Amino acid sequence: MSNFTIPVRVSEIKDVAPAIREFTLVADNGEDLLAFSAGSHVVVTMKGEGVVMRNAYSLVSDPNDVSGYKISVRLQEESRGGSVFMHTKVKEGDVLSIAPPSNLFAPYWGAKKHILIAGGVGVTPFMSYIPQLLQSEETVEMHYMFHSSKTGAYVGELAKQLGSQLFCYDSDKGRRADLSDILSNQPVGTHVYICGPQSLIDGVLDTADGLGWPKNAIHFEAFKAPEPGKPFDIELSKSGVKLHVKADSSILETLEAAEVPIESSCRGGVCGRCFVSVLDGDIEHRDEFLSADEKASKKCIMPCVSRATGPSLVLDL
Amino acid sequence: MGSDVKSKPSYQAVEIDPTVGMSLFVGEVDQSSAMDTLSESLSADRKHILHFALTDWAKENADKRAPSALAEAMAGLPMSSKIYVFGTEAFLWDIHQFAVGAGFMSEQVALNEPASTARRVFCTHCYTVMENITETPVVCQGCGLLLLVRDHFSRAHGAYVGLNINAEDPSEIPEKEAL
Repeated sequence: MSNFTIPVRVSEIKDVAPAIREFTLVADNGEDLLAFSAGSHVVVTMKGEGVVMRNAYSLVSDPNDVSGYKISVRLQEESRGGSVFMHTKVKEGDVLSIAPPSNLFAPYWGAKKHILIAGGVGVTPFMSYIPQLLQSEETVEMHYMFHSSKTGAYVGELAKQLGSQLFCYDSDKGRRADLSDILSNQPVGTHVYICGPQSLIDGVLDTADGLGWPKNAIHFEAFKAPEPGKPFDIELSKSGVKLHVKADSSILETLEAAEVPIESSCRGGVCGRCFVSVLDGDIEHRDEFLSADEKASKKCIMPCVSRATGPSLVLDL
Repeated sequence: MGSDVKSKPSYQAVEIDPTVGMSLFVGEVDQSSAMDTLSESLSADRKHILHFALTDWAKENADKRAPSALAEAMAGLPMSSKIYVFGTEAFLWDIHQFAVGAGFMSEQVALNEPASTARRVFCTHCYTVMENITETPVVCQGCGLLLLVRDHFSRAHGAYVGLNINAEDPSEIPEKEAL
C-alpha cells in the first residue's frame, strides 16, 4: 500500500440491483475529495475480525462531482470476503479508509467513436466514462449484458443519458448480444472498451481479431482478485524474516499483515506497482504486467496475484 | 546506415495482411510498380490505390492537411482496414500522421522501406523545414547556419533534427557526407 490514505464516511447506502449495493463516500472532514478521471478506481481497506482486506472498486459517479465518491459492490458469496464485508458489516455513518483514485482504464480520447461493452457489475467503470464522454460530445454506444435477477444496475440512469445508444441484453429474459453484429461495419477510429468476466473479454477479443480489428483499439478491465492456491513460505533476504503464505492469501496481503513496507495499487496483477525481485524459488506467474521474458527469467514477481510453485520463495525485501 | 538513436525508425519488408476487410495503398507516383506487386493478391473490391505525384505532394502538403482524395478514401474505410504507404521517408510519415488523425491506429499503417535516403530536416535554430536533404552538413535555407543532420527523428513531423555544427568557430567547415 502506498502510505497515503483518505478517511471517508459512508453517507448513503442503497441497493442498485438485487446483488449490487452502492456506497456514497464523503470526506470525513466535509471537504471535497480529490479530482478523478473517467475509469478511475479506489482501493478500499476493510478491517474485518483479525483480517484486513483491500479491494479495488471503480468509481461510479460523475467525475465533475467531487463532493463524494460512489462505488458499487457486487456480493460474491464464494469469494474472499471483501464484498461480504461491504454488504453485511458496513453501515451508514461508518468510516472507511481509501487510497486516492488511480486509473488503469482511461478512455482513448483520440477515438472517433467509443463502444462500451459491460457484463454485470462491469458496468461500474462506465458510470464515470459516460458523463465525461457525453460532455466532450463524443460518439458513444453501450452494450450492457446482465442477469436481472442479480445484476443490471443503473439501466434507467443509462437510458436517460444514452437514449437509443444503449443496448441491453438481459440473460434472464433470454436476450443475448451478438458480438459479431456489434463489431461489424464499424467506422475507422472506433475503440472498444470491455469490463466484465474474462469470458466476455475473450469473446470480444476473438471476434475483433477474426474481423481484422487492430489490437490496440480494444481496451479491457477484468475483475481480478487474487485466486487462492497452495500454501508456501517466503523468506525476506534483507531482514531474514520468514512468513507463511496461506492458501487463500496473496504474498502482498501476507507482507502487509506483517507490516513489511510495500507499495501497491491495482492489486490485480495489472499496474506493476508491487514489483518484487526474487532471489530463489519457482514462480507461478498470474499477472498481466510482466513480459514473457521477465516471467521466464524467474527473477521477479507481482506479489498481488502470483505465487510459488514449490515450497518457498526468497524475496529481495 | 546503422544508428544507436532510438527515435530513428527501422523498416521491415511489408507483407499483406489478408485478414482485413479493406486495404488502401498510398504512394508517390514513381512507386506504382511496387504498389501493384504488393496489392496483386487482393481482389479489386478489397483494395483502393492512390498515387500522388511528388511535385503536387510538396505543394499540397504545405498546409499539413491530408489531400482531399486521401481524406475521402480514409474516411470511407471500415475499422477492419490497413494502409500501405510507399515513397520517400517524409512522405511515409506524413501519410502516417494523416491516418492517425483520421482515427487509425499506428499498427494499421504499414510503411515500406523508404524509396531513397533523402531526409526532411528541421532546423532547431530557426524551425525551417527543408525537403530532400541528401548530405550532411547542410546550410539552413532559413538562417544560413551550417547544420549537422542528426539521426534524431520526429514521427509527427517526419523530419530529422539539424543542429549547428560550427557554433564556436564558423570558419570550421566539416567535409560533406552522404546520408
